[in-house]
Amino acid sequence: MQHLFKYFIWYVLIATFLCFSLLIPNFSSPTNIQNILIGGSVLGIMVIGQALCLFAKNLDLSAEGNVSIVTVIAAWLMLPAAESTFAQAGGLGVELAPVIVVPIMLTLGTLFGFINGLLIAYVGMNFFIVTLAMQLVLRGFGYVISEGAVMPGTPNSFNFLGGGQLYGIPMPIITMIIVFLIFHFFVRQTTIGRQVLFVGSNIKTAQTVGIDQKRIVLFVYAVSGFLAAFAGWILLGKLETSVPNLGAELTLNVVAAAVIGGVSLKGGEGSLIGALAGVLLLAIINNALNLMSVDPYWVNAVRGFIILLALIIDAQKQRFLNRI
Amino acid sequence: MKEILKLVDISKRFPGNQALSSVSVTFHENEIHGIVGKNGAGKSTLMNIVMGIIGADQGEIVFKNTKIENAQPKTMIELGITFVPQKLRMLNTLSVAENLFCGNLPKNQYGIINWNQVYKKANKALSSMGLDIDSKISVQELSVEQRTMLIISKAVLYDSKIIILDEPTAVLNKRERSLIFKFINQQKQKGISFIFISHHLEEIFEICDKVTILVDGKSKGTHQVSELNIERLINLMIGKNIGSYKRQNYINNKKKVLEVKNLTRRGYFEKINFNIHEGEILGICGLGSSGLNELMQSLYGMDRRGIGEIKLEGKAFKSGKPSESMKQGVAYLTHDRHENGLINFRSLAENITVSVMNKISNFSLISNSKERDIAIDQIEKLKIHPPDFEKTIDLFSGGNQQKIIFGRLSVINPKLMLLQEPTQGVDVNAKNDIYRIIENLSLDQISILIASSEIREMINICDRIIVMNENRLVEEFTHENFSFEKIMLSMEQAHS
Repeated sequence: MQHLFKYFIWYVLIATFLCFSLLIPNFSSPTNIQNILIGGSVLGIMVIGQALCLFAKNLDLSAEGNVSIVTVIAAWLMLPAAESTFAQAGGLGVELAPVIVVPIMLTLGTLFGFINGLLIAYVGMNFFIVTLAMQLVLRGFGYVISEGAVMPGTPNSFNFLGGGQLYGIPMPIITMIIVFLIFHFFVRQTTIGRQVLFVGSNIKTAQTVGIDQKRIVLFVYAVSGFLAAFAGWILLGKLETSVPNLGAELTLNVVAAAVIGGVSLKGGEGSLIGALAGVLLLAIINNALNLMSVDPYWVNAVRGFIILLALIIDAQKQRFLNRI
Repeated sequence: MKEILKLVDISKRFPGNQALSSVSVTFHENEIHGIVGKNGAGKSTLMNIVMGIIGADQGEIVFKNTKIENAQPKTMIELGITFVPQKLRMLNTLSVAENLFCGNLPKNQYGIINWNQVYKKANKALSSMGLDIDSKISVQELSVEQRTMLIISKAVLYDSKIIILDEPTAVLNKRERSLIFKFINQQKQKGISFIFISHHLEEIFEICDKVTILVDGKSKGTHQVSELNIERLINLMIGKNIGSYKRQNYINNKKKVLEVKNLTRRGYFEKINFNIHEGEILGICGLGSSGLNELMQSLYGMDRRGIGEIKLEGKAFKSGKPSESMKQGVAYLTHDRHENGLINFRSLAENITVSVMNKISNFSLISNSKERDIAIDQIEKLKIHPPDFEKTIDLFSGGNQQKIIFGRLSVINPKLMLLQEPTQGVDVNAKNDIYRIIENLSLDQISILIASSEIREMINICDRIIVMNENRLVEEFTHENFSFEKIMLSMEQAHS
């Protein structure tokens, strides 16, 4: 039984995949599988940061704001100045090379996460409010800088990570797999990774046994910020155009994927591999609904339903495990 | 005086523990009836049975000459029995009036709450109880004794016949205590009976008419307080020493490991002075309200230190947080294992190695084999059962969980261990194991400071015992002249 619970999400994933393969022609074709994976790649990278926060019994709602502002700033720094039209804007005109812009993006993202962490761990503010407010602040600045307009035409070398291919395999897929492997190893096999889980499991005990719980909380938010910026890089590279509302709705999907994948909202429980399964499940469903040309308004309803289902299973699991 | 509640031959068995064996007590009207006994003597079990929260295996409950069958909390409350827990549960942010009426706020004919009426009625009720409290202020603005009086008033206003008070004075000072006692005596005159549970024996003499003594789940009879004195009461409370661990060798090492000089944190502990020698087992005995918990947590750096001097092996020990203390060789065992001792859902091995992650890792990469070696070593040394280092800690018994935490402390290789109630919530066999572990640690030259209220166990394991009472250390005993009565008297008596 415990085995079933542990790998439940994978069974669901396989069952869903087989179902759709039978229902939809071409669903299981290599091209479509590639599409599914590309669709899940941004989510897949962001879910790692969110899962780390959840492991430590925290939550990062600011990630999508982070994506928005770092992509706007990146485009702004890279694009040539141009006359602003109604819908389109140019950059700052400095035309920095991607090799400078990417580190700036990643540093800024980390910095925003770091500020979240400082306010939550050291100032003692509520994580929900801090990160929600941060999301609004960051997105707001994104609109201010871009004047609400799109900035098209990011340079090719920048776009490689989001749109390029290596040996015929799209870069986002390769990147997602590498980042996942690194962080999976990190959580399971390093002392800090383990401390993150301990802090989430019982923060008082963690403190008593000599773990610096504040530093751990700061750390997870900084990593979440870094990964959001990294995901922003892929997303901007894929679109080649900065849009200030980029990443809208990502937060909910990221949290949903983590929860569906068995990362407990109560902290200290779950694995990144589970979260990955959650991402894949959402990606499969998105893709299938697309292929079946389901009304996009339905997509949200279905997604919400799946999240509810995942939470019900999580609650039942607790009850079941308590009984044995 | 008329009988109101009679408990006849009540027995209750929990797995591995006979909590009560044929206890009989009779409570009368207009009576304040004290119940005393050490931790685990069966006081809470008895009260839970009276409240219908747990059922007795045997025996009967008779209320006003009617036998109560299959008592449930609801039936007992309807009969007029109210339980006032030590930690009061009230709607803290709401007003006194709302707490008083709870779901029964006076409404007008449209079903809308008539607030004028609410406060008027509440004020009238309060003044009829002799309480001078404004019913508009919120409960959190009241002092603890006012809250206790409010709860008692509410019980009286809702026609309670018997009010059970579980250590109502645990956090109060003398003046506040005497206010409550005066109030309780007033209510007694109205015909209310009180059952008064307390660790402070002096209070029994101050307020109770009768007292029933519980020892190891058995009743030592009900006595008129006027016929007792404190020495005789303590004598009645001594239980038998059933197969408990006895220290083998006493230590004779005069090298000071910890020196505490004039440590003072106002309101918690004052002018604390003591030393621990190498390999010594020093006990500090005190009641929950003595400031002992705070002293231990402050020594470990979990809490503020206040002023004074602490030296560890001759050097100033100024740690402000646990991780720092641990680095300097001080380990700590908490008294609430479930609250902040266990790392839930994690394996035995992870729980043992959590404080020494640098020992199981290279450049912060964890080596599973090193971790396993440390865990297996401790499993063998401490006889942890089952010996499965991958098993989740929640699935072990209380005694084995405690051993695992001892393993966690031992692998730090500390110079000093601070232990709070090390045998709390474990069965007799595990207790003996744990004391054997403690003695073995002391033979490894680790100094051990145990804070406990289990005098009998402390007498068997310690080299010396210091007694803490009302925030001060009041008396010291060496193992040659340990005496249960003297130590207990010292813990209970007012020294000021």
